[in-house]
Formats: sequence, structure tokens, C-alpha cells
Amino acid sequence: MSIMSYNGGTVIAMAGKECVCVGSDLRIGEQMTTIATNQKKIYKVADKIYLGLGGFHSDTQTVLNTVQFRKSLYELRENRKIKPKVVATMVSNLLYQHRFGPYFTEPLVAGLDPITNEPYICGMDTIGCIAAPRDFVAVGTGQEYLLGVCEGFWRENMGPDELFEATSQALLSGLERDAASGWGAVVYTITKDRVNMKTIKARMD
Amino acid sequence: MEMPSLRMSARDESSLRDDETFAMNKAKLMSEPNPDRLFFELPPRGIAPKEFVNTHFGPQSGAKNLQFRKGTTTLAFIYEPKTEADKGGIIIAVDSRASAGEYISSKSVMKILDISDNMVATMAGGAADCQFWTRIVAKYCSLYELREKSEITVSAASKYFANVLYGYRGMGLSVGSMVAGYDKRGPAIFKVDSEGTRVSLRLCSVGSGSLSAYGVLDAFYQPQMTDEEARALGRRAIMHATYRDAGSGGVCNLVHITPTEKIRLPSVDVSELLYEFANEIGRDIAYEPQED
Repeated sequence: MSIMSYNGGTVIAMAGKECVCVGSDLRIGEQMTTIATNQKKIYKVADKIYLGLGGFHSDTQTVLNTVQFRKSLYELRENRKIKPKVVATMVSNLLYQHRFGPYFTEPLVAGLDPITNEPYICGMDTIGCIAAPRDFVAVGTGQEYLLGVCEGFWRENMGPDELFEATSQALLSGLERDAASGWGAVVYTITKDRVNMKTIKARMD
Repeated sequence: MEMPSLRMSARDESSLRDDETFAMNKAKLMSEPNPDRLFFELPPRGIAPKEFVNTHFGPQSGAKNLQFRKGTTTLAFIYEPKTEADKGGIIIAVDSRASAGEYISSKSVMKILDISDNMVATMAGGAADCQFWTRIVAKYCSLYELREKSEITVSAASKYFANVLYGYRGMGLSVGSMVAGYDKRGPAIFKVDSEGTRVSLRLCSVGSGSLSAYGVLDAFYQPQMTDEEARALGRRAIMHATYRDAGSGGVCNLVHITPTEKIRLPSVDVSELLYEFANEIGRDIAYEPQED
């Protein structure tokens, strides 16, 4: 088994009208053994910006800590709120610094612009190549399955409720076919006024 | 005993004349398969089958979703009836997931295969290997019964199975089967695998989830149980195994073989079983989100 699927886990993000949704499963395993079922893979970076990290859990935590540190430093130095696109570039730069010995993690950034509330989502490979589509992104072991079902669930200009439904259904459907992800899910709906977190009951096998 | 006959296909066909090649192909393609002899086409130039399969379908091959990697939990145990109302016998319980690496290729595989009226074999390892060879064993058992005018014993059937597998040892077959049934000598379970092992056991589990299943079985198995207790134990062991093992899941299929009949019980969703279990012991398995 490759190191990218040593721990398992999947993250997905979808963009809607003035809102974004980001969801992940809750499993963490060691190859085929499930170790815990309460490990979300989405982390808060700023008020309306979340970072999803798939791949090798240990590298995931290293990248998260470094990004959080650099983001704080950026906000102090610039004296303004960070934008999602800047977070993405920041993560990308960090990953490319390790071009010849990469972190085994695929990040995903989802959020709203702190001032204009413009939605932003993007995914990356292990060495920081940003892909920022306008519809949806997915990373992790269940990436292929999720992207497939997302094609069917995503619609133009979805509102927060509709977007939450689409993201959750896509996530649950994707997890059905991935043995390394599942055991529950969590979905964040980010709107301009508030961030709503919901846990979703899923199959436990 | 019927020994496997292997034919090497490494014959140099280019030296043959065109009409000879045609005649040979015609003979090969136009004739019905002979049911008495098994023919397996082997890899060319004397490459060992195991290496050939590993090169093209192994973990390093890049043939994602085509890999012969599999996860399973199967178990079987013998128990005595606790009360007059119980029948006792053998419980065989299995999961229903088929996987190729992390990809779940099926959620509803029947891993308890029929051998005869009072005998089954479980399926762990390569799905095709198990299905094919249990079919061969089932055929052998039917013919035995017609010839000898008496039912074959579990011991004899499993020994035939083990001998056949031993004949193909080292060629990359992957079978981990439990042959279980009731015969004139009483209940019996034999664990048979593609390495040639054959052991008689009263309590047995096979597959990637077997360690978890053994954990539950060893903790709760008793030689005497009611039918309800025994069935619940089988289901619970499978359920716990599917929870911990990513290679196992889907539904729990259960067969109860009593001294007189073979009962196939309806499939139960293991995820439903887990939520029921959590509710029963009062454990809250819902994820408690923490503040970011």
C-alpha cells in the first residue's frame, strides 16, 4: 500500500452562491485496521477559511502547524485579514519548498473572501500545484469516487441548504465504495454570516 | 483421485506450417471442454504463474482496482444445544464485501457456498479461486453420493479439497476455506487453505477480519448455547470485525446447520447491527465536534 493511503481519509469541497461547503470522513486507520473514528480532516485557518488535508496523517499535522504559523505571521505583518487565495498560495509555496522530498499530503482550501465574500475552493497535489475549479474539488483515498458522484450532484448557484445537501450526499455516496474512508462524516457550510458544522451518520463498516 | 494435468503452451508454433497451425487451432477451439480433465493455459516461455500474475496484477503493477487483494471475515463454530427446544449444530457467519485494494468492488457477495445438502464451504482469499474449486468439490461430492449410495463425510470432502489445492501449490492460488457440515459422525468444521493445510476445528475464523472475530468468539463462545445465542454470537463477531477491518463489511450472511437441516438465515446489515449494539450497551458513538 502506498504511503498516501496508509491512514486513509477523504475531503471534499463544493462552491455555491455566496457560500462554500467542505466535508470529510472521520476514519483514521493503519492500513486495513481502523484506529479511530473521530478524526476530522478539516481545520480552521481563519474565520471563513478552512483547510482540508488528505494523505499521510503525520505530514498533515506538520503542514497544518506550519500553515497556521505562517498565516498568523502574515496577518500581523500585513495588519489585515488573509484571503482564501493567499492561504492557497501559502500552502502551495510550503509544499513546493519540499519539491524533492515532498510532504505526503494533498491539501484543499475552501472559504469566502473576508471582505467581498466571494467563494473560493481549490485542491492541490503533494508538491503544490493549485487547481481551482469553480464547482468542486476532492482529495484523499476516495477522490476518484467522489469526483464522479459530484458531477451528478453539483448545480449552478446553489444556496447554503442545497449546497449542504449536495455535499453530504456526494460524500456519503463516495464513501460507500472506498474501504479506507468512512465511519461517519462532518460537513462545514460556510456562509457570510456564520459557519455551520454538521456531523453525518454514516455506515460503520 | 483426479490429479490436475497441466499443459505447457510454450510450444514454438512459428515452426509449424500454416495448415498445421489451422488444424491445431481448430482442434483447440472447436472441441467442447472435456469435463473430466482440467486444462489451464499457463504463461508463455515457462514463466512461473505466481510471478506472472504478480507482475501484471500485483501491488507494483499499476493495475489499480484490478489487484488480487482481498479482505474478508468468515467464521464457523460448533455448539451443543442448551435446552430441549434448541437444535444445536454449526453456525457459519460471513461478511459480504469484495475489495480490490481500497476499492470496494461489491457490497453483496455470498461467501457461503453450497457443497451438498448438509455441507457448505466459506470463501476467503481469491473469490474466483474459491468459487471454482468449491464447484469442483461439489461435483466430486455429488458423484461420490451416486457411486457409493451414501452421503460423503465432511472429512472426506475436505480432504479431497485439500488434496486438489495441494496439487496446485506454489502456483499462486489463494484459498482460505472452511468446509462445515453435519454427517453420520456428527458436526464437523475443516479449515482448508491453498498451502495445503487441513485442520479439524470446533471454532474457527478466516480472513483479514479474523483477529477481531476471534476476539469476540473467544470472549463469548460457550460449548452449550441456545440457537438464538449462537446466531447472535456469530452475527456479533462479524459485526465487530467489519467495524475494525476496512476489508470487511456489507451484510452478515448466516447459515445454521442442524442435525436435520441447513437453514439459510436472512442477511442483516452490519452497520445496522453496530448501531443496535451501541444502543444496547448505551454507548454514544456519535461524533462530538470540538471547537476549532
